[in-house]
Order: sequence, then structure tokens, then C-alpha cells
Amino acid sequence: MPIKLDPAHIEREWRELSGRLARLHEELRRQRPVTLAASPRQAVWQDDGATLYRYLSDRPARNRTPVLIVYSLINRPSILDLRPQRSLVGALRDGGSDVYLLDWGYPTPADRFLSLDDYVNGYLDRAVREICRRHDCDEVALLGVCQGGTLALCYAALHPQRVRGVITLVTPVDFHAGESVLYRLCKHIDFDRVVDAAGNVPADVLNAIFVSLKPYRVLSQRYVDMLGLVDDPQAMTEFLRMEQWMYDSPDQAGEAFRQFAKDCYQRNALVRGELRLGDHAVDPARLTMPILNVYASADHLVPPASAAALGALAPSRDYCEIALDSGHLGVFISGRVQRAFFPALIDWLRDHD
Amino acid sequence: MNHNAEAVSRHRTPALAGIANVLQLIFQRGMDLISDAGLLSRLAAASTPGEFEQALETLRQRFEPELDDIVRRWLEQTAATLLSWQGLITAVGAGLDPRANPPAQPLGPLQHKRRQLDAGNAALAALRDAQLEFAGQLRLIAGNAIAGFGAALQSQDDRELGLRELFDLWLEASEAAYEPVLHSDDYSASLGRLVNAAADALRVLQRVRDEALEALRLPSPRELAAMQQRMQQLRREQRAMQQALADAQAWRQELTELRAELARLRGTGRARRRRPRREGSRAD
Repeated sequence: MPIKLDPAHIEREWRELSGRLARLHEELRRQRPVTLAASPRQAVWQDDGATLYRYLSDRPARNRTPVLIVYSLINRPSILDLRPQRSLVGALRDGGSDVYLLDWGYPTPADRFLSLDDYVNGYLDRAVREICRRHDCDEVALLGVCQGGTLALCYAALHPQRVRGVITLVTPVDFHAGESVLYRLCKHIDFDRVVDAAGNVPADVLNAIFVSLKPYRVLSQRYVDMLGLVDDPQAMTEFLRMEQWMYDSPDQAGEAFRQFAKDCYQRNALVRGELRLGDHAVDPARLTMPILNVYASADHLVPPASAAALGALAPSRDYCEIALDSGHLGVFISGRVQRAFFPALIDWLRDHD
Repeated sequence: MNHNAEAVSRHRTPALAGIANVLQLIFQRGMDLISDAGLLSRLAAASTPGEFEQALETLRQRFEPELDDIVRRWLEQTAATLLSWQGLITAVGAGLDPRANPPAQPLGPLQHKRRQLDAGNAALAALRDAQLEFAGQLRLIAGNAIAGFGAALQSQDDRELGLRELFDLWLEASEAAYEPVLHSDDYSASLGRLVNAAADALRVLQRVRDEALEALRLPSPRELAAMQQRMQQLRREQRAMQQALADAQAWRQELTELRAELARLRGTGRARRRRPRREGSRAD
């Protein structure tokens, strides 16, 4: 019955932990500020706060269709390129594609009235046109990540003539499927009151909500585990990169946030075919282009059922999906997971060129 | 960890950022308690289920005032942040005493200010109620986590535990207590009420602030927001015009090219039509 605690053992362990803590302190003092975004790139177009980057390569791209990465508005796209060995953009570039990234930037208070229509039919559409102009082509391949995947699907439904194919990565489609905890948390919030009061939604508020999904791991276990990295400077650098990415969050333009929260999370309007961006109805029936849907089977932010709903929603005859044995972030940072799906992405882009 | 808690507490919307702050304080105090050597040794020394339960009850009793303290700090923190606003309401209310018992219907030239003051106080009271209700959810999680941690310790049989094992048991028990509450309708409804109440309080205070600034002939955030909205509309119109212009230029270019092509074809046609005659004339 009594739990067994050996005071000598505990003392030993405590001494060891104290030693690690002191070394960790030293290591953190010694470490230089980490840098994100490993791959060389060039800003080729700018529109208000949005920037279009082209990733540079020594070799000409094999595929004719350029790829445009559409990232979420919530975090920063640096997670796609934390370091060369774990870089999605690097893998796509080395796999033969000309890779572009639309960086939404950091909305300022003056951007509080930017709507989803402004993002999708504005910045995204103009970025696509710019790429088409540069490559003298009519279509691009879109790779949408998380919320960016939802935006990419909206764009593809509204402008199918400009989209060769869509890859969605951990993308919510049916916002009520799979016991979505974010839907549950949103359910009783009056977003009109929140946005009217807050204007832009501060990044810290969203961070607090995301932290509250896994508070014990994010606020506690993560830093206890950090002690184990103290003798591995490379692993420590990786940790600090992730740490920097996690809390490098833009504020959310109020109107776009209001619409996304109300229409997507509360009304589930995308799968109901009721989503409108400005004057345009987003008709999922127009998603007839080739689609590759990649999701994570242990995703706590985007339940697999939410992402997999795209299969039933899109009438595309060329639809395939990959379910990864991973959580949401594992898709971006786990070498094991990336080895499982990077080649599939590269093959798909080549086959649909 | 304390440093992070401080950083979170400086947030612009204290009632919301306070949630993360409160959670962090709970972890910290919880960790302090389970690493309390006396408490652990009492748990370790328990030889019967009764003694074990008693030691666990001590843990609960120790944690209860800690949680009270955390919630008190949270409320104080929010109140402190809002205190300046409340002062502003009172000031704008031209000396109305917020503690005075107002008549059922505000009368006289200051009735508008009186209503504002009442609305502000009502919003702050609603926010406090919502915070207390949300704290109830946190109490539920803390209570379940302690019970789960106790059960996990009891199920260890004869295995010798180190600090890391204890931490892992605490982590698993706490997550197991947290997850069902996080996914419950009660939690979602409580969070909704908290966020909505915080937004309402902010709105009331913003209205007062705007009026005060406008009375001083200073630009108010309300005016700035109206300008931003107009500016956004102008940006959209400008983009639409730019696009229309680009389309028109593209069409003009296409038209020019078509005309040139037509002229070239006509020229070729004329040349062809003329050529046989010339050839014919030569042949003639």
C-alpha cells in the first residue's frame, strides 16, 4: 500500500536536476538568438502587409506549374522551413517545383476591417496573378496549410480556372466533425461582441486559448523535458526555434477573424455550401480539380474527421488522401512523419504538372 | 515560469489573458505542493487506505486556499486594470458617486451619465460573476486532478518512485482530470460567458473613453475606427479600379494586336488577290 520513495534516491535525482538546471542556464546564456526560415528566398511582390516570396534554387524547376503555399493567418509560416533537414519548402524545391509562399504579414490596427474576401479574392488572387504573369502560365498549384488550406479551397472554388490542383495539409473542412475542441470552445462566444470590442484580436488571446488546450504539456512538461536537452546543443537550438515559432503570432484582422469564427466554426458554412466571401458564394461543387488531402490521425486542433470531410465535399474525380500517424505539429517537425509524406507530395506535384 | 506569468498578465484584455496566467499559477502551486517533502512522506507512510485518503485530504485542504489565493489575485488583477476606467466613468459622470443609491429612473441633465455609470458597474459586476463561475470550473479540475493523482499513487504497488515518475504521474492525472472538463458543455458555456462579459465590459468602458476624448476635442478610437473602415473601403475601390484599368489595358493591347493581325491578313489577302491578276496579266 504505501508508495515507495527512497530519500537517498530522491536526493540524488534532485542534485542531478539542480546540476542540469545550472547547465541549462549557462547554455541559454551561451546560445545565440536562433534564426528561422532556413531556405534562401527572395521577396518578389508586395501588397500592403502581404509579401510573396520565391524560394531560390541552383537548378531550374523541372515542373512547369509553380506551387503557391498558402499558410494560416494564425501563426507564422516559418514552421515550414525551420531548418534545412525539416523544410517543407526545401523538399518541394529540391523535388523540382518552383515554390512561392504568400506571407500574410502582421496585421496592424489599420487592418482591422480586412475581410476574408480581401484575403482570398484580394491578396491571394493578386499573388496568383503575379505568379502566372512571371511564369507566363494560367494556373498554379496551391498548397494550403491548416486554416490556409481552407482559404486555398475557397480560392479554388471561386477561381477554378487558375488552379491546377490543391494540396491541403491538416486543413479543417467540416468544423463540427470529430469532436472539435475549438468548435466547442467557440460555441458560446459572441464574436460580434468580441471583435467590436477588441478590433483586431490580439495574438496573446489566441495563444492563451491554444495553450489552454494542452496546458500541462505546453506550460509544464515541455520545460521539464528541456532539461534533458542540456547536453545536446543542436537539440536545444531546435527547441528554441520551436519556442520562438510558437509565440510568434500575428494579431488577427478583426473582420476576417469574425467571419472565420462565425461562418466556419459556428455555422459550419463551408460544408453546408453557404459560405460567402464578399459578393461571391463559395460553391464546393466547383472543386473539380485534382486534390491531395494530407491530415494527421492524432491532430488535437484539426480532427482527422474534419479534414477527411473534404473527400465527400469535393466532386473532384482525382482526389486522394494521406493519413499520417502524427499530431498537428508533428507534420511540420517530425523527421519520421516528413519522410512518410514529402516524397508523396513531390510525386503528386510531378504527376499533376 | 514566474517570468512568463508576468508577461501574460500584462495583456491588453486581462480577463482573457488571465486564464493562461491562472492555469500557470495553478501548475506552479500544484508542483510546489506535490514536491513538499512532508506531504509526500505522509503519503508514503500511509499503510492503510484510510490513512492514504487522509493524507490526500490534507493535500486537498492545502490546495484549496492556494486556489482561493490564485482566483483572488486574478480578480484583483482585472479590477486593477479596470480601475482607471472606472475612475474615468466617475469623472465623466461629473462627480456622480458610484456608491450612491440611484433613483429607479435617472432624472435631470446628468441622466445620460448616470445610465452610463450604471451600465459600467453592471458590466463589471457581470464580468466578476463570470470570472467566479469560470474559477468554479478550475476548482473542479483541481479537485479531480488531486483525486486522480491519489489514485495513481495508490496503483503503483511496490514500485519505487523517483521525482520524474512522480511528475509524470501528476501530469497524467492532471491531464486526465482536465480533458473531460475542457470538452464539457459546462466549460464551454462558462468560457463563453467569461469572454462575452469581458467584451461587454470593454465596450462600456470604451464608449466612456471615446466621449471623454471627444469632449476634449481629441481623436477618439471610435473616430479612428470609422476612418479605418472608410480607408479599407477606399483600398477596395482603388484595387477594383486598378484591376479594371489593367483589364482595359489588356483588352486594348489585345484589340491592337487583333487589328494588326487583321491588317496583316487583309494585306496578305489583297496581295494574293492582286498577284494572280498580275501573273495573269503577265501570262496574257
